Order: sequence, then C-alpha cells, then structure tokens
Amino acid sequence: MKNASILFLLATSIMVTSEAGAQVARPSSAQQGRDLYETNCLTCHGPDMINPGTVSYDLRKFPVDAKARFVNSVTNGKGQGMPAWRGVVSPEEVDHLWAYVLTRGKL
Amino acid sequence: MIAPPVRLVRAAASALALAALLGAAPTSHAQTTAQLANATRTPGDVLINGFAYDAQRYSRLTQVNRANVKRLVPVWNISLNNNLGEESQALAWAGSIYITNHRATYAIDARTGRMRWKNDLEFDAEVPRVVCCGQVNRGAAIYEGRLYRGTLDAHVQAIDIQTGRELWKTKIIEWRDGYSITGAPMVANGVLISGMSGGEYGTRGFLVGLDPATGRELWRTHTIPGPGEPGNETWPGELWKHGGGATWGAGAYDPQLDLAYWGTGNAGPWNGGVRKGDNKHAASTIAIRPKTGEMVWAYQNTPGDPFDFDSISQPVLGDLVIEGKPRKTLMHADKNGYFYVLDRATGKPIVANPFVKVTWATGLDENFRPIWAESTRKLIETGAEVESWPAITGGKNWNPMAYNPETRLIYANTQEGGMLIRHTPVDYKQQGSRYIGVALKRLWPEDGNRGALRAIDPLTGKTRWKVPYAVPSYATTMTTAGKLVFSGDMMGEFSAYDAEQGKKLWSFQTGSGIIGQPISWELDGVQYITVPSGLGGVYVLNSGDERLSTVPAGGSLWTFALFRK
Repeated sequence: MKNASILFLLATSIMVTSEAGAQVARPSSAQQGRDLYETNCLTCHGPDMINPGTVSYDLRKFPVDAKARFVNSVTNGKGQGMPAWRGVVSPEEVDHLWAYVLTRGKL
Repeated sequence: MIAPPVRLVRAAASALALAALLGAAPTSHAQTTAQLANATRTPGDVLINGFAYDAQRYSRLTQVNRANVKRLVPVWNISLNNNLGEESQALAWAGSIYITNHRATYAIDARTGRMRWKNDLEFDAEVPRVVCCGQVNRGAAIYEGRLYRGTLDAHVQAIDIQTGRELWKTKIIEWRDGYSITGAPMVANGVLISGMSGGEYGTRGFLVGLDPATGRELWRTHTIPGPGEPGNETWPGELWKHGGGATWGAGAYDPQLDLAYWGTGNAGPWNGGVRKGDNKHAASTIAIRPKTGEMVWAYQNTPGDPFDFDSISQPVLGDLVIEGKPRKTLMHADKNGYFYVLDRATGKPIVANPFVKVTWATGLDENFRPIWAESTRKLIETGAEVESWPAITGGKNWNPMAYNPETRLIYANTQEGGMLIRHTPVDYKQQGSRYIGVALKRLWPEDGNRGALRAIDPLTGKTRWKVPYAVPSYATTMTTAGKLVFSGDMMGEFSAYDAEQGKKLWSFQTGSGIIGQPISWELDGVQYITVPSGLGGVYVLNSGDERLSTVPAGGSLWTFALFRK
C-alpha cells in the first residue's frame, strides 16, 4: 500500500506556482524520467520497460532498495552491454530515471 | 572426425612440396583481386561477405542435398564469449574459419573447431550510447594476407591473417558524433571500402576508400550531398549536415562494370515533416567507382523517407532474363516493402513490386517514384497519427537475402507488421544524441505471425512459398546447388528447406537465437555448413516481445556436416 502511494505521487504532475503567480503543471520526476528513458534507454530496454531480459536487463526487476547500484550502473556502465552515461545524463536526470524505474514502466 | 580421402591428402602434400621447392610460403594466405573476382569458381572457400562479389549467397556445393540433409550433424561448436548478439558471416580459407563480433575477431581451425588466434578490441565504455540497434558486427573482408573489419568506435582495423596481430587501425570518424561501424567492409579493385552506422544520431552518411596495405584514406564519398553538389537542393537549410543516409549494410561489386553497390539508410531525423523534399541520397541504392569513390548513379527508393526506410540490405547481383533478353540486374528488397530489379549499369529500375503488405504508397509512377497514400501525406503535412505498413523495421530489415540461379528465386526473411506513427518535436541538440522526432506504436498481423521465410519471384515480387514465423527472423538466408535453403530463427532453430517447395527438411536447436549469416564451405572433400548463434540485435532489445525470455543469450559458432558411419 505504501509503495502504491509512492507510485501515485511519482506518477502525477506537480502543480507549482510560477513567479507570476499562475499555476502551471511541472512534469513529475518520473515523467521526466520517462522522457529521458524514451530518448536514451528504450532502444535497449524496450517500450514501457517491456523486455525479455535476456540480451539486456529487464529494468522491471531492479530492486527498489538499490538506488546506489542503479546510479553506478547508469553513470559508469555495467557488464558487456550497458554503456557509461556520465557526461550525458546529469545526476539530477539519473534521479528522474530512478523515479521512472520505480514505476515499472506503468506510468 | 571425418577422414579426408587419401587422394586429396596426397594432392595437398604434393602442393606443399612444390611450394617449398619454389621457395614460396605454403598456403600463403594471399587473396588476390583475381581470386576474389573468381570466388564463384572456388566454392570450397568463402572469401567475401555474400560468398562472392554478386552477394547471391549461393553455394555451388552439392554434397549436402535434399535427399541427405537429414543426416547433418554438428561437427564442432566454439564459444564467441559474447552475450550481445552474433550477426556476422564467417569466412573460410585455407583450413581456417574467420569470424567477428563487436568484441573480437577469431581464427578457428576448420577441422577441429579449436581457436588459432583471437584479436580482442578495446573501446571506451561510452561507445554503445551511439549504437541504436544492438552491439554487433556483420563481417570482415580478406585480401592479400590481411583481414579487415570495422569497429564499434568507428575505426577500420587490419589484422595479419596468419598471426592475428593488428597491422594497422585507422580512425574513420569520431564516435562521439554518433558514428559507429557495424557492417562488413569489401575490397574491390584493390581498394578497401567501408560503410558506417549512426542514422539515428544526427550523422551524415558516407563510404570511405582505404589503401589496404596502409589504411591510408584514398577517398570519402558522402551519401548526403553538401553545398554545390547535385541533390543538396533537396534539403531545407542546413539539415543535410545531419541527414542520415548511413551505409550500414554490406556491398556488392561487378568487376566487369567496375562498380561497387551499396544501400543508404534512413533520412534523418525520422520526422519527415521537418525536412520536406526528396532528401537525396538517403534511402537509396548507389553505385560507386572503387578507385575514386565517384558516385556513378543513385536511385532513391524512398524520396523524403518518412518511415525510417533504410535501403541498406545488401544488393544482390544477377543476370536475369527479362522479356527474352539477359540483363545485368541488381535485386533489392527494400524496407519500404517493394522488391526492386534495377539495371546495374545505369541504375534505372526495370520492375518493382510489393512483396509484403504496403499502405504508405498506392503504387509507383512511370519513373518508379512512389505515389504517397493519403495517410503519408497527412503525416508529412500535419504530423498527426496515421496507420502505416510496413513498420519502421520494414518489409525486410538489414539481413541479406539469397538468390538461387537454378530456381530463379530469392529467399528472404521478411517482416510482417505495421505501426501507428506521429511526429514529435525534434532538434539536433548535441553531438551523438538521438535525432528521431516520431512516436509510434507497433501493429502486428491478425494471424500472429510477425515474419516469414519467403521464396520470392524477383520479377513479380510474388511469393512462391512461405514459412511463417511467430517471432520474426533477422537471420540471413543461404541457398545451395543442392536445392536447399538454410536459415535460422530467433528461437534458436537452424533449419534447411527444400528450395523449390519450402518444406522443412532438417533443423537443429543451437542454444541461442540466430540472427547471423550461414555459409557453406568444403575441406578434404567434405561439405560443411557453418552458422553463428547468439541472440541480440534490434528486435529482442526493443520490440517488447517477452516470448524471447526463454531464449538465452550467448554467442557461439556451429559447424555441421553429413554423418558418416
């Protein structure tokens, strides 16, 4: 139940007040992560993270309590297939990707 | 192991003795221009990607045939130490088999399957960022004692074919700008020609000609013309700089015409609404002069390519009889769903017909220019979502097809599918970043079969027979004078079919998916069949097909021969 609540918060846009006082929708971290995923990650990890998990990793299985491992894999690469994304994806963007990974592709 | 006939052993011993007397190195590993041009007369060897310069993938060996193919058994298997996919074609020469993947090149003892040497490649950990569709390599060339191959970080490497030692390595272009090399190079008229990959990363396509001895660049011919070159006017503004047209497939060559043929890839970005015009020479078939790189002709299969319709599948050269006259033709099954037969001297189309479901065009006009369907017009003009067939993976993807001059049929693994496609905003942001601008959803045929092995009449595009695949095959086909067709599938089966009827006659489970290129060769009087196995490539990575969760990764090379008591 707790996880479901977290996912709900991640999946919804956050209403913020602009300097001019108008309310504008800012994409949630997970939404920004999805955009980054579709640009950089989908080509190997599949649409909506759907992937057979043989040649490339099935991100839907990534342990939810292993963010540090995720950050390290994205930044420095891992194994035979995962390239290093340092210099292209910023630490803040890796946080967004992590938020998207927590949705298991069901955003 | 199968014992070689005594008479062949004696003949080989005599040849070695004669060579020693003459002071020449035995089996000197010198593949000359003449040997390459006459490759069809030495079917025991496989010296060229596509088997010969015509790229027919037709083996003239007949020991294995329809009557006895059931007796094929494995002779050896060797691991290729790679979990990312084996799309390559082996070469067979003087008792060795040579095979590449993106990590290494191997020489293998053809008789025993033991490794003779390995040449490992190193590249920066960031390089795979600019590889769209699987970290793979599709083959090598050999010439005058050297093996040549491209690398993922956009170099061409020459290796001593006897020792495995690197002789030279030439940087072709900066990988950080989105370039890589995955296709097989070719030596034509003494020039080493390589293509490049990167059509999804804002690159500008080219072919490069190198001195085979030194790696020195002799010429570079861009597929996308620059200012002042014919065709540049088909691009708005500066978009030609990142216009795609990557040459990521393999080539073919006609020594008599002295023309090398290559296909060019999709126009960039995929979003055709931002680059209205023909966008020459993306999505085209081109002919070049090997010595100079001069582009002698270009035929554009998909002007203004709005669907990622690469034309890079290896051209197949054949002399077809058309209206009673023999014609020097080039055959090509395009991603756009049309099967083309061109006059390979002039590039003029002779016939073109759809070979899969096509909805993006209603036909071709008298100049063989596609007539856009209303859906295509709507997409280009408004960017709104439309349904279109074939999908971005095409009617046939990169994987080369085979032509059997006896059955006069083409054998191709085709893709069956469509898509919902719409445009999204796109700008060239930074070097090496994705440059796409479309969103899409895949559509599949109602019968559930996403692919087929088809025997196609090249002059009509009609399918003579087909074997459906639930999961489409991205493997290459091979045909033989034994009236057989060989190919593999994504689930790991390597199979032989009757070339005339399509009946499956034999199959073997190789342990991983097959996405590579089979060959047939002969040694000591025995015909062998060799195929790489190793799941990878674009479909398993980004189709979302979870049926492949039961197909393990893991590259290896299998060799088969007829069982003998």
